[in-house]
Amino acid sequence: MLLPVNWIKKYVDVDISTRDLADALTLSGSHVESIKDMSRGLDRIVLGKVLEITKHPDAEKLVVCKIDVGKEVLQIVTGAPNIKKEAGVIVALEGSQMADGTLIEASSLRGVESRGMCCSYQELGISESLIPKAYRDGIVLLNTDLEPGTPICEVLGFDDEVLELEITPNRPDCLSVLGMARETSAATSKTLSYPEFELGNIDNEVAIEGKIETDKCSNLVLAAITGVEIKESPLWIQSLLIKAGIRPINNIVDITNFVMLEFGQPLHAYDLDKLEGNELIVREALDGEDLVSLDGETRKLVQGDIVIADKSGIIGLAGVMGGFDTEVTEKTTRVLIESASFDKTQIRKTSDRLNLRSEASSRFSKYVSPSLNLPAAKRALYLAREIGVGNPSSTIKISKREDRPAESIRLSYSRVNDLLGTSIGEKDMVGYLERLGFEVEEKSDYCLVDTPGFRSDIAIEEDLIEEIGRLYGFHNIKPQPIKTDLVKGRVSKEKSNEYRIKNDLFALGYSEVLTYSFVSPSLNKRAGLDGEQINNFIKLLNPLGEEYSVMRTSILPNLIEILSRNIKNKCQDLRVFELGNVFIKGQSLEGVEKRRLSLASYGDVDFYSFKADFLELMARAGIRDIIFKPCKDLGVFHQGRCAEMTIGTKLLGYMGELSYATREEFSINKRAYGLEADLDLINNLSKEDKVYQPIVKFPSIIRDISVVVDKDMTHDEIVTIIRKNDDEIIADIRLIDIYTGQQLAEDEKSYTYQIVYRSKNRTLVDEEVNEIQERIIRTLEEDNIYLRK
Amino acid sequence: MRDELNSLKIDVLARIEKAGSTEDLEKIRIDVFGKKGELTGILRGMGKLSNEEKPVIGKLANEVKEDLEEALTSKTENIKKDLLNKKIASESLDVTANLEEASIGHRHPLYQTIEDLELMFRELGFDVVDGPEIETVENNFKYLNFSKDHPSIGPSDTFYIDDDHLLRTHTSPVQVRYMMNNKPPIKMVSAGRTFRVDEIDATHSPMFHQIECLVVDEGITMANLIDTLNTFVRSFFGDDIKTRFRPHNFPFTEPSAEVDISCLECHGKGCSTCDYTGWDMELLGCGMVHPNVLEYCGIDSKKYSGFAFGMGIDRITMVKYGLDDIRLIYDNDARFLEQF
Repeated sequence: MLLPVNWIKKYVDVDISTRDLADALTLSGSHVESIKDMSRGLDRIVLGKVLEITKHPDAEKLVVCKIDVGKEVLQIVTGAPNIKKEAGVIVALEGSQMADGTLIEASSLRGVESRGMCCSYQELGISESLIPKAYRDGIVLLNTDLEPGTPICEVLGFDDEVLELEITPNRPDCLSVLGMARETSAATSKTLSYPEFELGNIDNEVAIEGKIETDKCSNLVLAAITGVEIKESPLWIQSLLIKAGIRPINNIVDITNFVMLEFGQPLHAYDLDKLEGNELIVREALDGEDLVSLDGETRKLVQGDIVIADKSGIIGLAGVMGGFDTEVTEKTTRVLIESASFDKTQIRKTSDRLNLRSEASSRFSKYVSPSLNLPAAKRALYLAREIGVGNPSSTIKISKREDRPAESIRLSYSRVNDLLGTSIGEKDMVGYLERLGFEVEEKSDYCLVDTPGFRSDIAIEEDLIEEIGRLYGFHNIKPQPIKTDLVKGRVSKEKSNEYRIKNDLFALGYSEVLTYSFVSPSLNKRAGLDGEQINNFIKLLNPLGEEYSVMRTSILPNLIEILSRNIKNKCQDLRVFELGNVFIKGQSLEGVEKRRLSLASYGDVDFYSFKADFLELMARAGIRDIIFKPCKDLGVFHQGRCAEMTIGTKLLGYMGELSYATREEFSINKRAYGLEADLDLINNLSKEDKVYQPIVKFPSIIRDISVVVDKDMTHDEIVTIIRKNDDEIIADIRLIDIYTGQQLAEDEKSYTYQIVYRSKNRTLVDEEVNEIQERIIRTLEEDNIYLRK
Repeated sequence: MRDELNSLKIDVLARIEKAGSTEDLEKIRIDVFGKKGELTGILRGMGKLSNEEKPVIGKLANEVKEDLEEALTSKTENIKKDLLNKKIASESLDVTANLEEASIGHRHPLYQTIEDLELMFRELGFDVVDGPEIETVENNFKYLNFSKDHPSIGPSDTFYIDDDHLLRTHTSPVQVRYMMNNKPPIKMVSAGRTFRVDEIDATHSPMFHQIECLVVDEGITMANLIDTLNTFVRSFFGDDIKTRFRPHNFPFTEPSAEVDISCLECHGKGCSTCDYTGWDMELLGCGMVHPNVLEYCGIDSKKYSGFAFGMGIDRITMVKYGLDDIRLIYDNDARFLEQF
């Protein structure tokens, strides 16, 4: 909300700087987000009076004016079409700088000297949306009695600052000058005075009636203004509206907006003579009814919308927007003012459905206190009389139900200090509450507090404690350490395991990435995933778009996208990982999140180095018994270079080289590798405690053998055969080379193993090793595996 | 014989001097000291000497032997040294050149921030826990005391899975889960992914991260909250960083506050970044746990009180590492990642 400081000063005697005022408001809960100095850049701009206008000798669209600026009469050339003799104009003197940066200097326009510029609102830096229609395409003409030469910020009332406030949704009462004046008064201990609105005796009876036919309106106040002449508002009203961010329209509309800003009560003005009959009815719309609103659009209404109707039918959408047919126009002479309270939930519903948001609807959908209806209506009439718009009639008030005063809240003094950790005195507590408009009945060790009608946010004792706390000042609360036993924070085994896995991955050269939990359903398909992973997504009801519409069932496609994007950026070598959740649809939505570890890599990597990285990672976690089985039916992976990983009977995951199809789809022009593993399983199986195994002191004997096998035979099968001779002195069987090529047949390959023999309790002799080595060779031969010649 | 020894010495020393390799020197050693060596030959004639001459010549012979041996040893060492020096000289490398690259993986800055925070709070005695990304509407809103018509409940702010489930809009539901399953005293933090309906731009992402902190015990006060946050801010951002508590409004806390910290650019002195206020934008929201929330979670609000705060992690990551666009966090560009 925009709050001109001069407006606040009408009701509170602020005697501190605007900066200090802003701090006081911020620290008491009304956050001042910015301070705009309205007079900035206006110091060399003054009021001028047009004395003479003559045609420019050489330019059809220009005129030459003599303008009195107080100290002298300047000759100024202007192209403004609306310039008038005798009019007050805004003159930028030589040396002034306009909002867009233009510097005003004496110059010659088509051979005629010009010493200054007549300004439009735009040139003063006023936003296009706030400029009155009449001055949108020309200079500002001012109707003022002030002397020429008066600084323009004085003339326009731009000699103050505007505070931009963040008002929290619980404080709709602060969305008004009066509400903020109340906060200012409470925060600065200054007395609050109210705007004048008592009309005294009225002898202008206008026959109007009202009726409320729905529970969604609690109160309706109606009043009329007669003898109206529609014209521009006085400058001081226009200026306040512009500063508060509302465009001046005409004297009647401006008054309703002015009162809305001042009290927070939206008003609506009807042309009384356009009403059918003299009765205004508040009711709910029926399905199929419609209304042409002020902006000329036809609005389809549904059952439940609150509408204002006369004999002829609907004439306004209550609290949202008035109707086109009863709009106040230049011809209007009698005005009907409506001031009411509507159900906030319904107003929000209607304005959301129609996508129609107005100053009124935004206020009504938060809460407008019924206690404001009558004073606001009266204030409008008061202003109308004061600025000579017309004659007020008396007001009538129709109430659907009486506002029952809320129950008093019991506030225990000790509870205040117990919760805040303060030692605020009872008198101070009561004082803070009274300054905010609460009525306090003091008892022994507690008080009973009555909440003013405009404070819809106060319901329980803690709410009052906050009120006391914020006026005492949170910044004045002395920090106190929590009294607690000395404990170190705990972390789950899973979490600490994941910390370690990450550290090991960094050491292996993998970088951590972070991708969205929601993906496009087509991403998995493009990556080559199938089955459950593309048919069984958990879908969002209201996604940001197809791209983010389902919860991911696998992290790998996200990583493949990362490979793709980085290869496009000419990154030569990449290793990435992500630990995160995937979402596997089940019977219910509880427990659908599964932890996954996913790796991907291209560049200086091949299948075996990629696999070695993972094996080392798992070994560090104490997991050594992973079985790798060839796996041919996953679209994402190369058919001949993919393994299913299991531990015991449990599936750990899959790894392999990305398939040609996947690489083509993602424009990955190098071999690339991917892996996804069940992190819940890893967390479950990992062992944190390591136990020292004594170092074997006896030397080992190493023997190499090269065998030739059928191409389909696997390393695991060969090792199983060797292991048949499971002698305890075979300490390790290491594959050190795989050979295929010219020296072998097409369907053959050769594996070279290094067999490490070692005993825990003696030094081995060649003879016994030779004997086992012979046995191994014989066992292999039984399976038709022969030594390579 | 004296002359023979002396001339042998002169002759052999000259040959040692001339020798160019360890092999030459070894040959000289054998030629001189070997069984048939020159010195050996001369010494064999010692027997013919008179008893007066024997000790004198014997002494001289020993001296000659020692001198020659020393000369051989020292020449051998010199030659070896020369050889080594030549080898070293021939092996010199261009130490200014870089031919290989080693790499340790890079930590993602956002996760680094999360881990820093988790570690810091653990050291302060907070349990570190996790919560699910798909939450129940009740945990995310109702049990946190949101009124039924609170604007953020609507589908224009919150992603829904079905009528009862959503993507959590904050980490606060972890409070609810933790309180329902643990008795006070409670001291916990929880960081993780959160989601809100926001189009992606330089400062918005539909997925972002928060950290939540909750303390519940007998006699917990707002003064405790302020102390805890001050401790956190000082250890995370620096000892000279100050906090400012502004009253605010959240459904799940009462009283509620937002916390600003000194501008990290100028450390509170005032600069263009902070519009010369010395204060940075709000760091986090906090407050005393609303009694309704305690009661929903089965905790007696007459006996216990608590405080909570929640903080956006993306923004402090951006501030800490000087990122000007939130999309950098989620783009995973190697040129970005490798800087951390």
